Amino acid sequence: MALMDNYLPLLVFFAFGILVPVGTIIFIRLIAPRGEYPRKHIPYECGWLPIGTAKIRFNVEYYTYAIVFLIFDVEALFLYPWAVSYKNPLITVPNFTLIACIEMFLFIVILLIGYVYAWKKGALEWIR
Amino acid sequence: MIPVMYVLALAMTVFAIGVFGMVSARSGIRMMMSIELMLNSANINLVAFSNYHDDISGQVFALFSIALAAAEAVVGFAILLMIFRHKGAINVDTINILRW
Amino acid sequence: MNIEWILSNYGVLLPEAVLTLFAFAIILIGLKYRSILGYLAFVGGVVSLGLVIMNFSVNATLLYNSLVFDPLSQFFKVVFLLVTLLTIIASLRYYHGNAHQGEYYFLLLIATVGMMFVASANDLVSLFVAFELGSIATYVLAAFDKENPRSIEAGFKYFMIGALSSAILLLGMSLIYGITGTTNFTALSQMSFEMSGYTLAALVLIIAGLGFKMALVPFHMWAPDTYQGAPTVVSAMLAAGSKKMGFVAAFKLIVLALIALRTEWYMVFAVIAVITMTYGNLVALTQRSLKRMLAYSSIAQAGYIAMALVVVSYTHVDSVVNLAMGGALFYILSHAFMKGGAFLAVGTVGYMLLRDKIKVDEDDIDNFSGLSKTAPITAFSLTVFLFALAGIPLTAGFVSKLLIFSAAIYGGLAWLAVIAILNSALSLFYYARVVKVMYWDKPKFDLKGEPTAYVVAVLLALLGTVLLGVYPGPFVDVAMKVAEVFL
Repeated sequence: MALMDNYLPLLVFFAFGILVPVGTIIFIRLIAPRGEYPRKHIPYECGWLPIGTAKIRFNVEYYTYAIVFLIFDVEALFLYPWAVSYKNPLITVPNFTLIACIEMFLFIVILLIGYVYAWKKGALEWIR
Repeated sequence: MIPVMYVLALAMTVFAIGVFGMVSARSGIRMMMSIELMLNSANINLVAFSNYHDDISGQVFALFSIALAAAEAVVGFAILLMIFRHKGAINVDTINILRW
Repeated sequence: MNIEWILSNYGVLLPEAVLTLFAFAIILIGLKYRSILGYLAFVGGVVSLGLVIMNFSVNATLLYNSLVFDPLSQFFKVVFLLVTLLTIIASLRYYHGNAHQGEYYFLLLIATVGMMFVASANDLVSLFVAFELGSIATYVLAAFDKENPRSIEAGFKYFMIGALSSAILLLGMSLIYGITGTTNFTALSQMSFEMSGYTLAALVLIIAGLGFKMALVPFHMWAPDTYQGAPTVVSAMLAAGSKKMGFVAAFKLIVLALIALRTEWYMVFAVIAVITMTYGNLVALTQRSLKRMLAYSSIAQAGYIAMALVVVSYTHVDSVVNLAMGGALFYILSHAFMKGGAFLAVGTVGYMLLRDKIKVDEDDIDNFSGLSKTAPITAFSLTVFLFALAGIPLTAGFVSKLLIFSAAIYGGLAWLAVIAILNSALSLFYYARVVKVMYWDKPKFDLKGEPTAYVVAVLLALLGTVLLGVYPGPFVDVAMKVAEVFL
């Protein structure tokens, strides 16, 4: 039974998680007025009448921004394990800090070259 | 601790979903999403095995593969964008100049 | 003291470092000046090649045994750099004045760096990262002529299949890691596996993942489309260089690291090798596009090289293993010259048509009719390359086929050798058809003068093909010496 005790809060959580939305839906069904009129099929945009269709093309600039962001965002991932193991006393490799330092320096220089390239190519400017 | 078998089953399920998506998708974006799923199923495996063997290198491997997946996605979307410029759609059925 | 220690230990990385440095210099200089980029890339490649050859018999490991520098890795680096240099020479003309030269040469050099690291990888992680570096750069290269819908389509297909294959490979690697708890090849090679469903699944996934890159049937679907659609200089690089990356990865991962499982992959590779060479040759028979024909012939050649893997898994005799792997290495070197040269020769014609503003399919076989009169050097070189691919004596192709086929016979796989020889005879048929069109048919187009850069590249490849065929002794010795790594 110990297992059940451990999982009891979780069970309660799940039960509530299911009960609340289902209950709300049923409650709304019970009390909401029903009616069919054309305005009901218009997408809701903050209470205003929508302008144009929702299926428009987005500016391609978003795409280049997203790409540049994605690259730098993911590359930052490597900084964390590096930072954790940099001064780790358990690592007994000779000259470890020096090597780690040089490696991270090279890594950042390479990223920087990419950044300079994107900048000079105008990927960071918003052209309309 | 969750048995490693369960995680393996999860990873294989995700991989199978990815393969199914790859085979059935008509849209290039959807194919890219399926590839991401497949790569991530391998990541699940790596992290689970890393925990199981009590060895850090699996997690490092997963980190590298996440970064590589991002780089791959960027290249893939760039190619899809060029296809969109040429064809006005990213439907893979329209990509059929080269055959036999 | 510390700096000296680093230099003495990391000196073996110098070829890759030089190439990377040149690549970054090119992409930054390319923002302003464009005319010198090709020459800069060429200089970088030559310096790197010189450094690799100077350090040929090195034996070192680096970064906690995740990179290894031995004759095997150096041999493959020489092959990759030679192919890249040939491609750069031809590109000097093809991409002359192109607005995106900086990106082109950058990607070319970075792809080469990736392949070189694959050759040096001694760990699943470093292998996968280098493999992806080499692949992702070539996806972009295949789609580089972005005005040409064919190039885009080639890039798209290459990308989708390539990404799929790397996902499959990664899953296989993760299973290997799960079974053994290590990612290092040296540790893996000393491991004894107990056969189970997981091991089998891992093996199948890895063979499939690498098979895509090596373009073995049934994982070959992308190769003809990509080689046909991509810019021809890039096709040369893909067929002659990038494909070898798959082979070196397979040699490292399957022959060196997973040698304990050799009995399991014997049958798999036997079937794959046979259907690969037969399918490639049969489909090549009916092609009208020369690039597509070369692509299928390239698939068939991959089948011949894969025979080495069959022999290694079947026999335990050291001398036969050495002969098979040495033969495979020699084949890879000569295939780089033959196939690279053939694609560049086809590219020469394509370029001449483009330059003289003749609007036809760039690589249709009709364009080659009477080529011996309008472009004699190209026609002659292409003839030699095609005969070399078929395995006619006095060319590199003959020696390499002789080595591999005799390894199969000594290894007790005579049936495999017979199938391969029949296939070679079959392949002669479609190669000879092109030669006939070039020498006996009337010229269709009035082409004016062969472009110098292309001719230089083609002639260099021709020199390699003939040299390896007429005077193979020292090169075979080197290949055999290198293959001792596998014993």
